[in-house]
Amino acid sequence: MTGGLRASRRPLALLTGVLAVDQADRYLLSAVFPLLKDDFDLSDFRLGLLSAAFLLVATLGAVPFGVLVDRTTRTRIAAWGAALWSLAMIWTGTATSYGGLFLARMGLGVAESSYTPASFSLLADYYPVEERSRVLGLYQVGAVLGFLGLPLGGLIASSWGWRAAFHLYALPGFALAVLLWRLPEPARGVTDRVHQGLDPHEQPSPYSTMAAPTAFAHVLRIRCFTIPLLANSLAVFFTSGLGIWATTFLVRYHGLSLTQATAATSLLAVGAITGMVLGGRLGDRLVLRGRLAGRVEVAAAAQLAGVALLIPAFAVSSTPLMLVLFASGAVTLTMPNAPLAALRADVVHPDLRGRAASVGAMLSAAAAAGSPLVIGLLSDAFGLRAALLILLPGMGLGGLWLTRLRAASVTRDVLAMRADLRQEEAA
Amino acid sequence: MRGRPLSVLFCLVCAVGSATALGLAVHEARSTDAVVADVRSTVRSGLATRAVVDVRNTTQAHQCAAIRVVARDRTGSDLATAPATRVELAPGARATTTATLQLTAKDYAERLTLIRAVVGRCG
Repeated sequence: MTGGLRASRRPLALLTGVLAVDQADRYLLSAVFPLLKDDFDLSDFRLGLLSAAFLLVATLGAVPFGVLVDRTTRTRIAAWGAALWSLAMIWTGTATSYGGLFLARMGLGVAESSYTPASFSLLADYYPVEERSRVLGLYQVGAVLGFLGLPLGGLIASSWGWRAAFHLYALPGFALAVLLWRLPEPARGVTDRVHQGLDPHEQPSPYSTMAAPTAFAHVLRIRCFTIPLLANSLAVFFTSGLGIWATTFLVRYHGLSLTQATAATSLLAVGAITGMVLGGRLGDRLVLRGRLAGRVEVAAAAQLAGVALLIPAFAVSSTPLMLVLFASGAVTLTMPNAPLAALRADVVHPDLRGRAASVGAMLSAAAAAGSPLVIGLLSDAFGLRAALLILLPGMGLGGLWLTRLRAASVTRDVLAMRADLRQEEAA
Repeated sequence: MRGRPLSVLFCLVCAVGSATALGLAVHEARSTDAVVADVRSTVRSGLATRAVVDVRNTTQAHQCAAIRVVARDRTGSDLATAPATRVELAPGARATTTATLQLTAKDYAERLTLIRAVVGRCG
């Protein structure tokens, strides 16, 4: 189980695939909005409410699942989650009223909220500590792949109807759920123990049975957990809003047609994938070279470089130059995600990682949900270009905040977690 | 001891779920709406767009439909809607109807993604 990425790619490939299906199922609704609107004669508000309510349930649901993930078999939770959200996809496809559609989306939200805490905790235990950032980077590519699958959903919906799209999208979820069920459950904290030369078997720890409020308070007191999480959320806030508004920006300020602008924004997806993979590799490489704060350094540099590249990208009038800066900036937008996620796993006890991931999932979802709205409001008041330029420094602020996390802080928090593991073995 | 029954239950859920999903998808793909309407062509003149819509009765019964033409942005929000046109169709019959949409210059430049005909009930 600890033989490294090269030795065992199956869990990573499977968990990445499930993430892609998770994201595709989540966003299929938006691809079929026009058809739903016609079938149920919905207003834009009621249509928007479907997405907002789903996001709320999926976000809040992560908390109880975070607790469950830390106490029970994670592969089983992930497998049941995938099976149940696939059932919710079938339910959505059979809805005959707005109420039914709403309830089905809530069901999907509850089931999907189990996945992030389970997968984060599992990946930390499947792969060696020194490969953690790289593994998490590859895993996050699944989210973009799922999003890129949306045109297929739109195509199915326009050819065979939106109900058929939901039913067909349920199929890979069931298949992957069975594979998740068969995945071996790693011992909690096994890779961290092996890394320190301790007995790899799971040891009793006070964290597994700790009351939820105490556990969340404990996690949030870890400086190298909270600061990277908040700093990364600032980047997620900007990236999510840019994903929604980039097409309009290109049309409005560079005179591209909608088709050209949509094609140009695919640069964002390519940049996002490159950034995820590159950030993960760089983070691990620096740590391997003895820079314990290497993961934070990569993330901080990426967030600051992102600001430096995107300010001129939004300001210049030359379209080719803008696209070059835009594509380079897109790489830096997702680059911090994997190293910071790896750092959060490094400093949080293995028995708390489900709960820690649920906090991260909540904050990221809130940032992703609020960002398009804030950009829209600022755009109405000052114009879209100004709105993006106003919010961009927030990401830089996150980068600056990260630079304040010195090697000493990282070392202290990592060693504190390792000391817990040693004490448990000694006890 | 309860691991095996749980595994069986899980496999059963996945197998039944997959079969149901596939069956329903095939059923949906094979079923056709009683009245189908497609925008055949659009012609823009200034800020107005005139859409020509083909309407078809796919059943062997008399059908009545209210055909509404809408202009939408890429999120599915309506930019403009033309008043619904009532169309009476004999079994298997076809008809053509037109509608005019008024949009703003900003809608044309930044938002307009599709013009679509929506079939509703007569009433």
